[in-house]
Parts: sequence; structure tokens; C-alpha cells
Amino acid sequence: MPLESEYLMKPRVSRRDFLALSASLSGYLATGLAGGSLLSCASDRPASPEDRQRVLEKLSSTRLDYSRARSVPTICFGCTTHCGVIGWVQDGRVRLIEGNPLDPNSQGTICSKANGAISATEYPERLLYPMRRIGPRGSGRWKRISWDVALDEIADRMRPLREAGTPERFVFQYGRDKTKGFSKRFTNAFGTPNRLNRRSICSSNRRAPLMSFYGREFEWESQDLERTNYVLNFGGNPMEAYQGGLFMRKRLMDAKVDRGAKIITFEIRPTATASVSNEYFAVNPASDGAIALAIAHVIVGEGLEDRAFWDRWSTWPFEEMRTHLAAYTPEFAEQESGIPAADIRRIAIEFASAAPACCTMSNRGSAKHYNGVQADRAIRMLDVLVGNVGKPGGFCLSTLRGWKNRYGQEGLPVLEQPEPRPASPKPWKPGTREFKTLSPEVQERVRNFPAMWQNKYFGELATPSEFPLSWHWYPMRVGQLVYPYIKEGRQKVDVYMSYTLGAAYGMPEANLAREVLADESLIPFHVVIDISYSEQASLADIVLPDATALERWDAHSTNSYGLQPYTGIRQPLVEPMGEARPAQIIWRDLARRIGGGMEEHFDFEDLEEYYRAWHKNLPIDWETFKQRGIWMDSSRPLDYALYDRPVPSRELIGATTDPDTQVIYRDQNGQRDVIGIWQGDQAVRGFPTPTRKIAVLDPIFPLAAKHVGIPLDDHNASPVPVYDKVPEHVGLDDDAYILTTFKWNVHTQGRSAYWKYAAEIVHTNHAMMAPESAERLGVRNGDEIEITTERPKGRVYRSGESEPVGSVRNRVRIVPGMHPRVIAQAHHSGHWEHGTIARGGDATPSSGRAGMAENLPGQSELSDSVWWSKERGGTGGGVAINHVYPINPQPLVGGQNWFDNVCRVRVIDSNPTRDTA
Amino acid sequence: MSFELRERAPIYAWLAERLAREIDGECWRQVGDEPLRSTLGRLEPNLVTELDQEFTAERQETLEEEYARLFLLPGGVSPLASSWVASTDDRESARQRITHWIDGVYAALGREPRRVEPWGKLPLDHLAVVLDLVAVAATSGDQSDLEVANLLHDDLLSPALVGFGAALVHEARTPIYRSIGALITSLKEHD
Repeated sequence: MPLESEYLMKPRVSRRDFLALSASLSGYLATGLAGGSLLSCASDRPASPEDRQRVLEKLSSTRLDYSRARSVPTICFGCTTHCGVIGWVQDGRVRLIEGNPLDPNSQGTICSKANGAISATEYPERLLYPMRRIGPRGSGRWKRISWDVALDEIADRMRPLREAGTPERFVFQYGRDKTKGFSKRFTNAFGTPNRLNRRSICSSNRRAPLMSFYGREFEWESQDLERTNYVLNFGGNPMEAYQGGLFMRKRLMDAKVDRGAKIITFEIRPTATASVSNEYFAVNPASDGAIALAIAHVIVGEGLEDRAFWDRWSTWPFEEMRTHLAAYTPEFAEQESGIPAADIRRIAIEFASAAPACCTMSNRGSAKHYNGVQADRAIRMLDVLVGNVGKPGGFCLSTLRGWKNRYGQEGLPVLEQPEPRPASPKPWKPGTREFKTLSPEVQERVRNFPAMWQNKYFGELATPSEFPLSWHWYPMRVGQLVYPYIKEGRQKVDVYMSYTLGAAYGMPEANLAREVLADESLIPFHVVIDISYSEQASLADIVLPDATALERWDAHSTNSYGLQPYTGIRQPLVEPMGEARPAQIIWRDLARRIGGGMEEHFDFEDLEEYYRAWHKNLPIDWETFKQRGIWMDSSRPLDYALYDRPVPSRELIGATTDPDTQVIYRDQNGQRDVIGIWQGDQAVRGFPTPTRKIAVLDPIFPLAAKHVGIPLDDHNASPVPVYDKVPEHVGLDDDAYILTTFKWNVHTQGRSAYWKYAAEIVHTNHAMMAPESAERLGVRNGDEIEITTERPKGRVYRSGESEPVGSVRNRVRIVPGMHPRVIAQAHHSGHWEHGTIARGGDATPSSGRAGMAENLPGQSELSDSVWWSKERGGTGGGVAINHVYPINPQPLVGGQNWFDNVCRVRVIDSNPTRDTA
Repeated sequence: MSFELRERAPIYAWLAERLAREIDGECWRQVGDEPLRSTLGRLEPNLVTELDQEFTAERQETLEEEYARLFLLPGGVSPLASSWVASTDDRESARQRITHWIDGVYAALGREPRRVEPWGKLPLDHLAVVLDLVAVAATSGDQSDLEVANLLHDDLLSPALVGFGAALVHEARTPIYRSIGALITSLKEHD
């Protein structure tokens, strides 16, 4: 007999017996269990009748009561955009999130992710206590441990590494760290340079070209969309998913509706941004560079360039550039992209004619390709060519990093982490102990590096020597190679700490990440800090519960689309649930346990004290800052033409000018500090690049290529923007497709699948294809296909291997307007951990249960409310797809080429009666 | 109803401890005390049979793992009341609604939740909290506390325990947790 029947259907004690038994217990509660009750006995205040009446009245009403609710400004953590928001908190619960109108970027607007954060905080299956595994790693067998036990054990594992002088064997990797350097404070204090991230699978290919052009200070741009008249969008999707997307949406739509601005979008699928564009072109994948260069060709051919601006600020002589562009005709671009040459010519003229109130826009769509870095350089060149840089309505730059009186931050209060800040680790120069741990091949490469790179080299995980442009400007890392490198033994790891990292689910070839994470000989000790029990957590030894964005403090700064720098504060709206703790507190307490001087950098009792000290230079008091959530100097001039701002005469005293370049610098304490450039008789700031000009021609690319063995005739080595086809896209046969991936507007990569609010809107990921593709394959909506991916062919990881990378089965969704060569799948679905919501109601392997039995009495809101579960005839939680995407780092920069994947399609289940609409 | 609730309070308090923390030697010993032992033995004989066995280190490890799998990890048997009742209010989730209630009940009783050592705080809608609140409020001797206890019991605890107890019986792998599930379902039979 099934157990449930035995227990549920057999009354074994009569009602009368029960009452009789209970009566015999009447004295037990007071003498026995009441003293150990979960209720506090701390209060000596008996509740008055009035209190009780008030409480009962409270219980009868759940309305948001503006007489009792309090508003707390904070910063949303729903995605990378980080909008200023106001949380309405009543009775200890966050009831509503609204936009903060004081945020000059979001202008009081929010998206669905803001209120999704409430469902993340309230998630019934989130981690609430530290846990330690008790079975083999990955077996799903855990026990609860106290914070003291957890932190002691981790500290005991870490301390010997530091004491032995091998701190680099502690490897820290984060997925999304917006503590603004707090985690770095921890790793620096420990002494490891291995503070890794996953920027390469996100945006490094689009940041590198921007930093090449405009300097380290500008890894993200701030188009002046409020005043623009023309936007050329190469694969950017700010209406759905884009860092800063929300800041751009209202401005874009205002520009279009109020002033008739024109938006042109080149994409491979009809995104939300494409849908609001005046024109959308479904381009051949990875052809953005050809289009941009052809547009430049037309602009120069028509004489529409801003020659004075180019000559003044570009490092590339105009005539050389004109000669270079000769081959990139609109007809050539038509052949590469599929866009009619006449349209390219027309758009080029329209764009240049709108200057300077015009701008380019690009993001992952153009950049996450083998040729993506050069494509983005070509796109960026268009702005320089028409002279819209730093102009009203043009391509503007506004400071985005912490305020330390750097370029563009003059006059702003200095905001810094409180002292005493730990020193950074020392570089692994030839002769050091760390250098000797490197392979002979790597040692040879590093020995040949110029001094500027030797001074920035910290081993193969933090600064992979084959990808010097992943860390030339700052350490962007190559996150997708961390696990292969650990497997190859390039870095010995003793303790690995994952912070909000979903590598086991979301990295390309995620199965390799899982293989390495499960191997105790490669990673002897794995600690995970996260909010939810993720796939990464399932492969940990100790799991520590993190506080959500609504429960924590953080400093906030980003680039301003309003072109006036501002800063904000994330502050807790509610106490962390259960025993979850903010990561900063976890690191503080670990540092205190590890000791050895590490604790000196964490001498604060609470995070408010810490962040208050951080903001001590703000010209408003702390309480006012907290009440407003945002500070900005609204009287400050807009960040137009920062390059034309004069160098103050006091700075010129004692400065030197390079007679060849006219660059002005000061030598201080052995450091050369470039402060400006002479333009005629005026000393101006210029751009924060080595030449103080815009590096359209940047010798860093051939230099890097030379040091890693890439021939100088390879397009990746070109100092000027060029276009070359993605190697595996050359000569594609008719049966081949390009598999791409994308983000939905309501989700934030793999981190939000368990947010009920978000999952109700989007919870699955079909294989999207154009009607022409479906017809060719003979499939309809809902049919099942199997997608098998191939290895890339460029100078990348495991290039050219004949074995397929992997296969995935998915259901077809026909999307008119998609490029007929492309199959697109959103990458946030198909979780097998993160609990019931993320899994779409399916079984959870960690518990081994077979799903919620339908015949159980009662109602479980948790499971029953997953109306999209397969048990209820829905789609379920989608398909995990990330294992079929090959690890494919762009040469030199290392950004993942997510959108190049050649694949084959096999029809598994085709039903001719299914709908084709 | 009020009489029944007052009388079942010790069982609720005992259950609250079982859901709040892993079963340990103290729990094992406690069940040997009368009159709790007799009561539990009549309501769910298998439970006492189990607790009569020797409490070994091996058994403790098994029970710690079972507790984590059932009550701390996703996909187990959620110990949160909000997982077992639906919200009837469009303005807030069941969890928010219940937290609101519990917060109010604590205030009404002039008390605050305490930490469960060594584990720390429980979410306010944890069934252990609700069970405990009902038990204490029902036995405080104050009529208005009893009204609160009845309200909490009828509107929240009882509906939540129906699904929870059945699911616990269904999902537990160890006889003792299966018995606890059965005890909970048997309590419902006496409502």
C-alpha cells in the first residue's frame, strides 16, 4: 500500500480520544515547552487591549496605507542598468517599487524587473542558511551549518594559502558584483590577483573598441538621445536588454515622437528596438562591420565628413583613411550583409546630414562575433567622421566610474572606499615566485611583453597572456576560459569562491564548467555565495545565503545619459530573510577570521557606517542623501566636448610638452601623468588616451597580435577598422544555420528565472526561425527540432575540431522578419536548479522528488501557481541550451563570440496539423 | 474549538520545534517524558516507536540530511505557510499576507520572535513560527490571546497543514519524518 494512503486515509485515534489525551497535557505547555518557545520572552510589556485592537484592525486590511507606509529610495539590481527606484515598505514588507524621479538617468521610469526583485526577495525556496555538503560533490546531499561553523571552515581553508605565500591559489569569481570594489577589497587584502568575472561573455568585445578610441575612462558611452535626430543602431536592443537600456528608452521614444528623429536598426531578428525603428534591416550575421565601413565610404565619397574634427582629433590621417575605405563600397556591403547598396548609400547621407545631432549605437549584436571588435571600431569611426563626438544630439561621453578627480570628474566630490584600503597584489614579473609557476611557453610570451604589460600581468586566469587586450585597459578577464585553464593546470586552485555566478548553467560549454567544478582534484574546496540554490551552488562544498538587493547596501555610480554625473545609494528596505547576509558582511567576517592583518581593512560594525564613510565628501548630509537616494550637481555644465575643456594654468606649471605630439604631461613620483594636448595656442584636455586624440588608428592591435603570434595580415591585427568574414561563415552550405541567442526584456540572464513576477511573463525559450527557414525544414510552430553546433574555425579555442560541440532539442516558433539563416534561442531558460519557479514546476534533482503529486490534498501556492508547468499542459521552464555554444573567445580581447555558431538542424517531430501562424 | 486548541497546544509546540530545527538527542530525550509520549503514541504510534530506538551519530547525520532536503532545499516540502495556502488578495502574495499576519500577532502578544540557536532567524511565515504562536497564544490564559490563536489557527495554520502534512508523508525518506507528517495529518482529522 502506498505510504500516503496508509497515513492519510486511516483515522487511528477517535476525536473523543484526542480530546481526552489533550486534556492530560494541559499543564505541560506552561512548564515544559513554553520556556523554549520560538516566541521571545524578552518583552515585559503585556499587550494592551488597545494594542490588540490595533493589531486586529491591521490584520483585516492589506491595503497599502500611505499613513503607515514609508518610502525608501534605493537602486534597482534587476539588471546591469541600475535605475534609481523608490520602495514602499509597510509592516516590514516591500509592497511596491516605483521609479525615483530624482534619478537623472531613469527619469522616474522602471521596467518589470524592478518589482520582480520583490518576488526574488520573497521567494519561498531561496537560501536562508549556510549549508555544507555531506555527500559527494553534486550529489545534492546537504546539512545546515551555523554561520560560525561555515566561516571558520572557509577561513581555515584560506588562511594557510596566505600564510604560505600562495594567496593566488584562492580564486574568486563573480557573476554580478555591484559592491563597487568591496569584493576587490577582500581579494586584495587576501593577496590574490584572481578576482575573476564573466565580463567576456557579456560586453568586453564592445568595451574594448570604445576604450581603444576614447581611453580607459570611457568603456561605455552616453549618446545624447534627448537631442538627437538620427540613430544608427547596429544590433543594439535598448528597448529590451541593454546596459542603460531603460535610460535610453524614454529618450529614444521622445526623440522619435516629439522631434521626428529617425532610428535605423540593423539586426538579425525583429527585436523590440527594431519594432520601434523607422527602418529595420535583417542583416547577414556578423556583417555590421561591412555596413559601417560602406557608410563611411559614402560619407567620405560625398564629402559629408567633418574634416576639421577628423584632422584635429583622429589619429588616422584623413587621406590614408580615404584610401583604406575605397574597397568598402555599398555594393560590397550589399554582398556581405544583404542590405541593398542604395539603402546603404541613402542612410549614409541621411546620417551625415543630421550631424552633429546624430549618433551610432551598438552592443552585443555587432560585437559578439569573431570580427566584432573590428566591427565596433568601424561603427565608432562613423561618429568621428561626422564630428558628432561630444556634441548636442551626438555621441557623448560622461564619466561612469567612481569619482576620484579623474578625467571628466573635475569639481565632483571624491568618493572612495574608506581607509585603510589594502594594497593591490604585485605583478608576476619575470623572476618572481609566481612567474616561475607558469609554463615555459607562457613565461616566454610574458618575458617578451613590453613593460606596460609586464606591470599588469597576474597569471593566466586573471590576465591570460594569449588575450592581452582583455586586460590592457583594465582586467576584463576571459571568464569562459577559466574552467578550461584550470583543467589544463594553468593555475593551481585550492579554494574557489563563486559569488552570484551561474557558470555551471550559463557559460558556453557549460558541461565543461560543471565537469571542472565537480572535480575535487581540480577544485578541492568550492564556496558559493548566492541568493538561490543555483546550478553553481549544487556543485559547492559550502553554500552561503546572500541578501537580495532589497536587503543590502551598495554604492552606485554609472554614466549619465543626462550628461550630468550623479551618484546613488542602494540601501536596505527590509532585513535579510532568514539568516541571509549581505556579501560584504560575509567577507568582513571571513577577513576577521583569517586575520594576519587582513582584518584591519574591515574594521566597521555595519554597512551603513562603511558607506557613510565612503560618501563623506558629498555636499549634503548622509540622512538627506538617504532620503533622496541620488545626489547630483544640477548646476554643473553638461558633459559636452570634455576634450575642449582647457587645462587650468596652475596645472601647466612644471608640465612638459612632447614636441612631436603636443601632448602635455607631468612626471611625478616616477609616473608620467598626461594632462592634455596643445591645440594651437590652447592647452585642452583632449581625450584620455595616450595620444590625447581619438585612436581610430590604434597600434595596440598589431602590437598585441605580434605578441600572441597572430599574423599582421589577420584582420584582428589591424590598427584601423577593417572587415573580414567570420571564418566559419565562409562558404556555408544550404543546410547550415547560424545559432544565436538573446535576452528577454523581463529577465536578466540566468539570474531571474526564479523570480515569479518575471517567470509569469516569460518562462520558456523556443527555437525561433523565419517562415522561410521553417518552410525549408518542413516544420511548423511547436514541432521539435534538434540543433547540433559545430566548432568555430578562427584562431580560437579548439578551432576546427570535427566533433560537434553539442545538441539540444527544442520546439519551433516561427517569427516573421527574422533573418532566414538564423535560429535564435533565449538563454535564460531551462534551469534544473533554482527551485520550482525556475524549473517551471518540474522535479528538482537536488531533492530527488518527482514533482508535486497531483493528488495531495490542500493547495501549494508554490507549485500550483506555476500554471505554465508541463503537468498543467504548459510549456514548462524551457530548454537548457548553453552547453551547445562553443567556447569561442575573440582573439586578443577574448569576448565570447556568442552569435557565430554554425549549426545543423534535424527535425524530430513534425505535425502538419500544427499552426503555422 | 477554543478548548481543543488549548489542549492541542503542547503538540503544536513540539511540532514547531521539529520544523524549526533538526532532530537531535534532546528531542529524542524529550519524547520520553510523559504525558507527551503517551499523546504522541496514541496519535502516531510509529513516531514513538521510532523515537524509542537508540539515537546514534549515524542516525543524527541521516536526520540532518533529511531535514535539509525536506525543509531547506528547493523542491522539498516547503515549511513556509505561504507555500500551502493561496493568496486571495491581488495586492500581495500569500507570503506577504501571512508575514503581515504574523507580524501583527507578535505585536498583539507584545512579543518578538527569537532566534533558534544556533541557526538564527526563521522567516515569519515559517510553519514552526505559526505553530508556536498558536500554541503560546492559546495557553496564555488571556481571552483575547485565545481569539488571536483561533483566528490564526482557523485561517492559516489548519489550511496550511493539510497540504504540508500530506506532502511530508509523501516526500520523507526516513520513518520519523514520515511519522511527523502523519501526526500532522492526524491532527487535521480532529479539527
